[in-house]
Amino acid sequence: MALVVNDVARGAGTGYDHTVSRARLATALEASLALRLQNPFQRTVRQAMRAVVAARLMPPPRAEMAAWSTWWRGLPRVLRSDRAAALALFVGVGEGYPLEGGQRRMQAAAEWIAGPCDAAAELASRSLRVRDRLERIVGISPAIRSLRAAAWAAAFGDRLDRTLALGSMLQSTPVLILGETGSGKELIAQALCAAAPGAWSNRGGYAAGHADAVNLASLPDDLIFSALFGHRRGAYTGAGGDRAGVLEQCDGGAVFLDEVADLPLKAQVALLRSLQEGRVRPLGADVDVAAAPRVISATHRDLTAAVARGTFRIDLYYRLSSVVLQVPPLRERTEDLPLLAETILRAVEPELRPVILERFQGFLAGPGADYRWPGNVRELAAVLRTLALGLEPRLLDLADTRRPDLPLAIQDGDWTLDEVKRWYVRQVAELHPTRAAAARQLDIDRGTLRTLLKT
Amino acid sequence: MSETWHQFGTRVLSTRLAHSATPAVELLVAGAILGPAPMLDLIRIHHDHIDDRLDTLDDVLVPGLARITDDSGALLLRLLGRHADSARVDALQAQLTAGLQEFSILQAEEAEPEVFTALFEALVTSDGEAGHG
Repeated sequence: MALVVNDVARGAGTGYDHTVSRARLATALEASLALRLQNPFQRTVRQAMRAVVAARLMPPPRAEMAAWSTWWRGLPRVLRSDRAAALALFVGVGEGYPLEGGQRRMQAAAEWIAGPCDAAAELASRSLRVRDRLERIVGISPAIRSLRAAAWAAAFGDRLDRTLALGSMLQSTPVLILGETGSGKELIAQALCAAAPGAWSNRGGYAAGHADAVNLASLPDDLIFSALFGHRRGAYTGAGGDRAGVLEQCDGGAVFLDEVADLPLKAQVALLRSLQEGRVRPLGADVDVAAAPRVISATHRDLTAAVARGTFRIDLYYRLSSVVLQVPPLRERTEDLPLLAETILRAVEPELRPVILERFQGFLAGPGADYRWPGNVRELAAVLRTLALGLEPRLLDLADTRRPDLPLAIQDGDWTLDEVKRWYVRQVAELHPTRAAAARQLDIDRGTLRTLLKT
Repeated sequence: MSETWHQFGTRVLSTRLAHSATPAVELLVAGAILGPAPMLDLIRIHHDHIDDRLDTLDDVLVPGLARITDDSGALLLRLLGRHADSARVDALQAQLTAGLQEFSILQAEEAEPEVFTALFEALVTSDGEAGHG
């Protein structure tokens, strides 16, 4: 990347005045075009992009359409007939505008392009929607910046001009989002759902792809089948009509399965089958129907522990976890607190915001100084609400019960007594130089210790 | 670049305020993003310009006003609220928050000074239109 930037920067000093050789200009423009199509949340890409814009090889965001027209006309003919160039143009003209404003500019740009450009305009619209969603994940910490870059890659791969070619592979690559409760898993899921292919028409604008969400923890077991796979009339008492499940409804789009660790074992088998075959059989139906959405799932639980315990199928775990995104807890990104607070405070009247912000600043300097935010961003919102009422926030410090050195499954109460016993025996054995010393600590004989370590 | 995002944000809002026809919008955003004390500093710096547009400003401003949580502060905020369209405050606050996020990232990446200048100019001249994509 550094080579590209330097090359671009050197060749670009003269901007559009064409005093550089045409070959040199073509190379620089091709490089700027390639940059436009890369992951916008990646540090190297951002830096290179700035260099390119600063060198006037590409108009900056929200530039006049005339500047984009000049840029487009300056591209060598061979590039202008390339779909990648059309894609770069649509992303460029739409960037920095609300959806409708960006669409209007894309419509205008579509007139400059010879040949069909619907696929490029659709992908450009989609990429701007996803970028908008990811930018709503507020934060400047390295952890959250890496997460945004990884989520973008999960949505589109490393270059937008290859995304359409990757289409079916991306669609069949599930994403698993892990993170504590309240940490923002749903925002990532919404961004990935916005990456579902939609439709673009240069008259009607952009229609988003089909996407829906199901919270599996909130549904009774017997309704989960119906919600996911659908049912036919009379399949069970109360099934008054045909109903398509969410997997069928979102065929070709995306579905978000929240709290996937709470999926009952029987439903896990059916979900695995549907993921493998791209089809489901609704309850009471004789034939399968097409149902191949991209599956985005999330959980705050330790799924590998659930696999070890036998409550989550290992084959489904592997199927769902092709891409794993880990959302950092708020205590690991406290530098994001001020920006997060401002964003949350936009829900109250403007004249109240300064007062609440002042109270929050006082809270952070006082009782909240070393707070670990066990409820993450959701808890931050609750604290701000309490402060808005002029009350003292009630801090739920789980330091005594939530310890980073203990497995999450223990803290969540997910293990059986036997599992806890086996884990603890291994811990103690590792902490002592001899088995005799470990046995003494555990108040058991060495033979029992050996037996426990083997299980 | 040793400027903090607080200083950068103050500079952006101060520059906007100097030419703003509706200074209550910028002041409320300053209060919501930077806190009440910087907001009061901006009022002091741009007192005459703001006073031309908020005719009752001097009625609620107590000399030496340092904090905004007292009665005078509440009165001042109500005055600003009356003169500001909340949709415009929301839009400008969203834009400034995104801009300050970008500023912090640029600092972490040790970007060139011209890039900070470009960001400053973009935030100073933006029309407060909401949304990104």
